[in-house]
Amino acid sequence: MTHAWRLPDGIDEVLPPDAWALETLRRRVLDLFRAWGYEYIEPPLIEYLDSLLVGFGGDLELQTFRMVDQRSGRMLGVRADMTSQAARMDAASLAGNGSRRLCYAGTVVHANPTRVLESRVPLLAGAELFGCPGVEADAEVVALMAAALDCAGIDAPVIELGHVGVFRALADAGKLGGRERALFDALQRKSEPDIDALAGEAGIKGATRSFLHALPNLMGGEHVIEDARLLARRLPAGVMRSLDEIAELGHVVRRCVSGVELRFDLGELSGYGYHTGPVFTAFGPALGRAIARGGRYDGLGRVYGRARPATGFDVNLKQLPQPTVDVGAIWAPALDAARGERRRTALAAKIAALRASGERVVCALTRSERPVAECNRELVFVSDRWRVRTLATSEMSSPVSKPKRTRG
Amino acid sequence: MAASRRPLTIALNRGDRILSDSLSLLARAGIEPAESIERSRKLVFDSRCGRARLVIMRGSDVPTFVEYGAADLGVAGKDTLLEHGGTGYYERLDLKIAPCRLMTAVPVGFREPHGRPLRVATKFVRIAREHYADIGRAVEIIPLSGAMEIAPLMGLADCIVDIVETGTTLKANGLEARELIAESTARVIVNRASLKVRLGEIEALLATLRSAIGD
Repeated sequence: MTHAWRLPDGIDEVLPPDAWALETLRRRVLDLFRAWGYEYIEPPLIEYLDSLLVGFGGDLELQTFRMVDQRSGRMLGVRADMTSQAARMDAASLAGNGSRRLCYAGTVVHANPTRVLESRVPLLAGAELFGCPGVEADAEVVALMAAALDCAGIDAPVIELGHVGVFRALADAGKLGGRERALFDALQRKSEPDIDALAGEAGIKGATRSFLHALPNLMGGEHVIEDARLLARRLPAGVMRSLDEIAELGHVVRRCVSGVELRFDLGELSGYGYHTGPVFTAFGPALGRAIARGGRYDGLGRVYGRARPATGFDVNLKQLPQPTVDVGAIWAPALDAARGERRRTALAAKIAALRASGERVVCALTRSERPVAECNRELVFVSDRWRVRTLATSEMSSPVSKPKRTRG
Repeated sequence: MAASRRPLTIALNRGDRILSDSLSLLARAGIEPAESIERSRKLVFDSRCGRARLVIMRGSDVPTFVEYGAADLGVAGKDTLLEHGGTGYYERLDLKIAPCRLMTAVPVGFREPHGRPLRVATKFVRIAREHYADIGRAVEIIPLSGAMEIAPLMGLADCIVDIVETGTTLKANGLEARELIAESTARVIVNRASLKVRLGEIEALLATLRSAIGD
């Protein structure tokens, strides 16, 4: 087995210096969640499959790795998402009926990447807000999502609001002639010809027909909600209620979020399987895909014992631009290389002080060892004190150069 | 609209007919390659107006480029999109060019084999599999990348699933078309994120194309 160390498709490892950058981003995002009052949870990596999948409308069925628990003989699943776990913890593990804010950051595993080039082990950070049914809660989550993207240095993202209730109200009222799934697919592709053809086949007529025809184009600024209202007057009341809700969410978000471009897309139904209300998606320039998404999923907790209003978002930190964090480390000579007890004590104190101030200090282990690659400065004894100075590039460890070392 | 920086990248199917038809529609929307595509061996062309960049590729690769955002827009046949089955792009416009039909075809005088699955040669593996699953026929799919017509002649397959334009190729090889699976025309597909981030620009282009085809 000469290739035993190769990684499976879509499984990536994060190497230095990227790993510190990613961890720094994770810490920044978690600090942000903490500052907004979100409690941190660590959902388990594996759970009984039933409890991971129940309530998710099959959306995660093919994404979840399965295995057998040798102790109980039951099927286990590796988490492919942490929203359902947070909902379970809120409903079953934690008491109280008031509002609750939970956040998490960790790796999930996708059995099937949704697209080629997509990591099967995304690092998800997310925040979920339970117990508040109003759009104020959705607005807080949208605002937090915007703040998290800002924290990752994404300039002026596009944040798009949609509402699965618009389409669901039509399906629930039996207006889709049993072609809900096919129409949903065509709508996800915004394919007018396909929508028209399906509506024709299903015998959908009148107001529903013209509304479905218009739906893929109802995207853009606030005016699309007005356009939709005109078309929705003769449709089931649920459609109008959803439009009112998303309009209100738009107003609240506009009041509390700045530095983003707010858009609406009434044909966007991401997470239709379990979302029940407003959905939101963030797009950054030049990333070619959505960078963060979320929405309302009231009642998911019912299967865990308590139906609770819930809304939240998550973001794959590996997909965000990574912070540049490393200013380089400081190379310190081996302690026993310092001549005299006083210099040695001073060196140890200096190293401790630098480390306490947040600097990275790497100590030589032997007298002859040369600076490691991540060092760009060194500690030298000059004018009776240990001082930091820039490391000449020729002094860094490299297999070819062997400069003579001098210490002041 | 956020200041938009780079030109829109448009992926085009290199097939002769579909390419020239796409180019003449784009020309009516003010997008023309700065040099002749036919006479050059290059694959990437800037547009004269500077708003777009045209990339010429195999039709079946267009959805891949658009899905990953390597191209913002693309022109691809509905047959290709059905076969690709991707979800990372929107189908925004039917250009009504390059019409063809996806059909099954069998040797003239063909009789269904009994007691074994039907052997089907095709490059539309996904479409064929779904079609026969829909009609409840057990099949073995033989994936080929071109000239499916020879497979039944050589005894490799019982029938084929292929695009049919006029039917002359089928006839010349002793085959006849049977069931219609889908009608296809060329569609404009748009990367999801590109449409969101550059909505105004892309919708304006689509609107001019729409009026150019008299939709």
